[in-house]
Amino acid sequence: MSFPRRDFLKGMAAISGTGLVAPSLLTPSPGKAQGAGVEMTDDITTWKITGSHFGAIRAKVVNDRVLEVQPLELDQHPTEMIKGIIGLIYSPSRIRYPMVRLDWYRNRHKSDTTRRGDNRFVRVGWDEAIDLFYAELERVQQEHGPWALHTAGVGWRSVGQMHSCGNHMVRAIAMHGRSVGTIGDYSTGAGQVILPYILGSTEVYSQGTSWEVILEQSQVIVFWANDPIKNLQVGWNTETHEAYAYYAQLKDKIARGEIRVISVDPVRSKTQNYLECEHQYVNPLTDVPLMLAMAHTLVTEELYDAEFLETYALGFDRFVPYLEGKTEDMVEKTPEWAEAICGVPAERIRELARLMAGNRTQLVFGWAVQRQQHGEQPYWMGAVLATLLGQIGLPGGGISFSHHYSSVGVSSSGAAMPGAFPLNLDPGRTPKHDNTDYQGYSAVIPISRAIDALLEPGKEIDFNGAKVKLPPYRMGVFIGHNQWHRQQQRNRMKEAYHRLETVVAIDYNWTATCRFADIVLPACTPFERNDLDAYGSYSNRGVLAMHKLVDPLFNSRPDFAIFSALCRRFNRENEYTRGMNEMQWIEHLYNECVAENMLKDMPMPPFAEFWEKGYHLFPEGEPWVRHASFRDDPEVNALGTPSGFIEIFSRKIERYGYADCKGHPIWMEKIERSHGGPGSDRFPLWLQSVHPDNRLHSQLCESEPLRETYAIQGREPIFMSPEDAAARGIAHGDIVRVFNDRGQLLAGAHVSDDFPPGVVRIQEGAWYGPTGPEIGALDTYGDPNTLTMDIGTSSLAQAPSANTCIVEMEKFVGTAPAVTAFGGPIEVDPDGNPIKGDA
Amino acid sequence: MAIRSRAMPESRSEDVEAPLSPGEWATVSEQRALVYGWLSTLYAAEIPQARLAAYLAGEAAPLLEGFATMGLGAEAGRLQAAIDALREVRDAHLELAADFAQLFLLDASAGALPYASAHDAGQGHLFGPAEARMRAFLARASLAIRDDFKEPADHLAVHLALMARIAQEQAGAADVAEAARDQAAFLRDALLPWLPSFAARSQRASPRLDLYPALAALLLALVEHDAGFLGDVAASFARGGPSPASCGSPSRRRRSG
Repeated sequence: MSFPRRDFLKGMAAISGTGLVAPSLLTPSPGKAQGAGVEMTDDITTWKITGSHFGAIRAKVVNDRVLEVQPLELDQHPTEMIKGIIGLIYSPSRIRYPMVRLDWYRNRHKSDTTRRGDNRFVRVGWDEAIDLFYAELERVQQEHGPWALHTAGVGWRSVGQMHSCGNHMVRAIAMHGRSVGTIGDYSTGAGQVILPYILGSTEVYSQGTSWEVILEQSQVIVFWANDPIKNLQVGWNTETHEAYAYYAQLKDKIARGEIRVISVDPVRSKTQNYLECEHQYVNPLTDVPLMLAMAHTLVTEELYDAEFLETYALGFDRFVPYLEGKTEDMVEKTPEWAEAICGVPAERIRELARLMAGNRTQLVFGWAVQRQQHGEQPYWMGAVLATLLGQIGLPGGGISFSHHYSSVGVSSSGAAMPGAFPLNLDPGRTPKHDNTDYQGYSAVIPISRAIDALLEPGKEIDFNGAKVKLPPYRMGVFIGHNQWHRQQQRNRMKEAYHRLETVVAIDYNWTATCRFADIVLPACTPFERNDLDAYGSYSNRGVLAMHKLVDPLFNSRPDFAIFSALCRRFNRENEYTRGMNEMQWIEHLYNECVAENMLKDMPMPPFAEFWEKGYHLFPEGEPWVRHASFRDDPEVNALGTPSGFIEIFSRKIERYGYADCKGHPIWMEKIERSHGGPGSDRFPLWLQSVHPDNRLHSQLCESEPLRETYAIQGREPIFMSPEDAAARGIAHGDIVRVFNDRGQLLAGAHVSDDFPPGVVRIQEGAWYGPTGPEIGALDTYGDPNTLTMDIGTSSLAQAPSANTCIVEMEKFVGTAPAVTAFGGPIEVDPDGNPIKGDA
Repeated sequence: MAIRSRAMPESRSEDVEAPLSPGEWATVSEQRALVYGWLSTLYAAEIPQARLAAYLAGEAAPLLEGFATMGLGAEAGRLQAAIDALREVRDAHLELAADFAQLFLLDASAGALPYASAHDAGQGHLFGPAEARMRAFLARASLAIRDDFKEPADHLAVHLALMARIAQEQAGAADVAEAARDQAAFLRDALLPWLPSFAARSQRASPRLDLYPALAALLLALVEHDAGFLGDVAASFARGGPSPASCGSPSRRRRSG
């Protein structure tokens, strides 16, 4: 059969000039080969340098494209996460243009908010997008005032001191008008509120005793609900990964039998498996009974340090009667009592107490145990236990709440680190709308109560000794974090968002926060702008140049440009930028840092030399012991507690009169708990949502190459014991439905001997991908916060309680709906089956 | 599920027509350039309100009737029906813009990413090898993408604009056979490897209106049909011997896909 050429020609002949063709996208460019740039060789020292939470990197960039990423040669313990960087830059989930939700575009703040999340957006130009943003700010300030605008607390914004996006948002919005801000964060909400009462500082973000000292002096190290090998992969500033060298030494010491290291955890952690150390299983959420019984042993066997208590602590006498069963629940906190709750044999509890009292013991707590209902209690009780042991302030003894974070324990160089683009209004300046009338609502709310504020407008809640009146804000601006990852209980959020009139989200990839927004503005990634960063959040190892790798992709822009444009709308752009551009700011911040370090006798090279080389390092610091100065002289170096001493009993907290956080640590049953606790007959599995091993919270989840290394059937893994899998007919690699009364999700079964019966894990940060915008929709990828509970830890901290969560699961039978969380090019047919290769 | 257009008539050497005259080639090349330019326009950006009015006034009708004459009646009719249906839609330009966004601007899970890299098997991200090849091709041809089009070089609209340009440039080619082979090779190597996947995703995504799914079906049919035409032209010269002026025409064949 021949080609019907005549028909083809005849058909074409009917086509004549038409006004439907726009000018061509292509233009001649004689002599200008597009994208041509400096060719880079394979010599890594010629590659560009930049930083990230995952470490410093070098990148091979050819013709404006990042071809390869390698760890900076200074990094001896790089993380696998950097393999996700190229996938992050070139992610199919990139936000490519300013987008406005269609119904909001039509009806503005009167839109149908139940349709958020239905993927109906229209593209607008930057000018129109910023005009809409600005007009909405104007409307909210004029019609309502500052209580109606919520500037959500910034989280793990990308690194870079100049472009730190939260600073840009806060400064620009503050120049326009006031808003409802937040206090606290989702990681350490309970810890950072309770510990200043007990030990005088947040502790969670404090430098800890140097590893050299711990390795030399500690005889026992207890990692309590702590997985540093997993969590040290990332840092607040560009991470150096120096702490890993000490863990390698610790591993050797364990192998040689020179030290005892115990991991107290329901799960065999990555750290335990790496160190090959001892494991102490404990039932989930029952660390407080275990510690109370250890304290009981220390007291009854007189193993506690009476002299230390006398000199450094207050309130022991108010606490002992509770141990003895003479107050509160009138139950003596014996090891036998604890055994029934925490699952640790009474004799073992006594052994642990004796071991710790008889040796130089360093307690090292993670953050997971305070991310639960009554999360203040395990931290307080941990501090009390350390106080009874009497080793606080001794080298290799005492307690830490931060050694799993940002290379805490690597001695600080003492150098000053570069400052940041200013967060606040310049001195003496006032907002355009200089209105301080919040109409009785609070101007600051505990960060995770942001949904309560929408659902329970005007409600007065307790918070840290004060009252907070929740403002039913109408407009929210979200930047530098993924609210639809970090906040608990998705379906409750959906309901609350129906009451929000306008949501502005600024990000570089289509997070669920963006999908549930009205105005979405595409920022470029940190790899598409110049900046500088501190190298080592606590070690202050050096200053790092962040060379722009490629120009901003698509129609994305640096946050600096976005908020400059916003300030231009009310004629304050020059004030906002102080008349400086990106490189002028970077040089300015660098030179300020040089001046500060000059005073410390720590010379730095001129800017141009620094920028060319890519980094400047400072000499290593001196080993240091936390709380040693307090121990040396508790009068001169008093703690920041009300009394200046360690407070086993807090009169201040007692005076607040809270039922759920009293004057000393106590055991309180949880609203729900596995292993025989409330609700475990219906939902027998504890769901823990720990910090992920393969990403930073929800960052890098969108990186397809990285996700391929851990996802199961394209879903986030749910880790489970062989026993729980077998009991439900689940095999490794199956898709399972996980559910409770709050929601349901699909995940991929990962069966592992590391997990005990009754405990399952879905790592937080898994992107939310519901089947639709409706409340109760099945989450197709496996975001654990679909299942977690949105309650405050207590009246004290009002912090997130993600780890108080029980669930049931079943093997998913039938055709699983396609994953909707990402923009990935995974092809599926209409039944949701993945298509391989050609469609 | 794969969307395949009808079985394509293959040209066979024993069954071809006479070589095309240079005049016929020039005319049809201009017309083909217009068609590719039109397709590029539709995939480069949303349809502006004024131009939508022109569509609703029937301005695309001759074009679509021409496609029907070629044998693409089903696809052309579907698109015409999709256009006609817009008359009943409030704010049709906005709804179409939202469809455009859902299909091409948000992500692949909700739509059909218009990038060759997004349809590369085993390619986990955008700006893949297909994009690098296309950029290199454009650079060698001393072509640049307009500054206001902020997309990678492997965007569908760039492929179509390039095809329009090549067809236009080669309208006066001395060696018609080589020009036809050249263009057929471009379609085969750069566009057709992923166009069926793109068209299939355009059908599977469920935008509110049928315009873009209908357009994708027509696009695939047109490109496959055009490849068939070019093959037929080249084959006709092969049977009829080399065309007289072939030695004067430098090869334009460049691998780009």
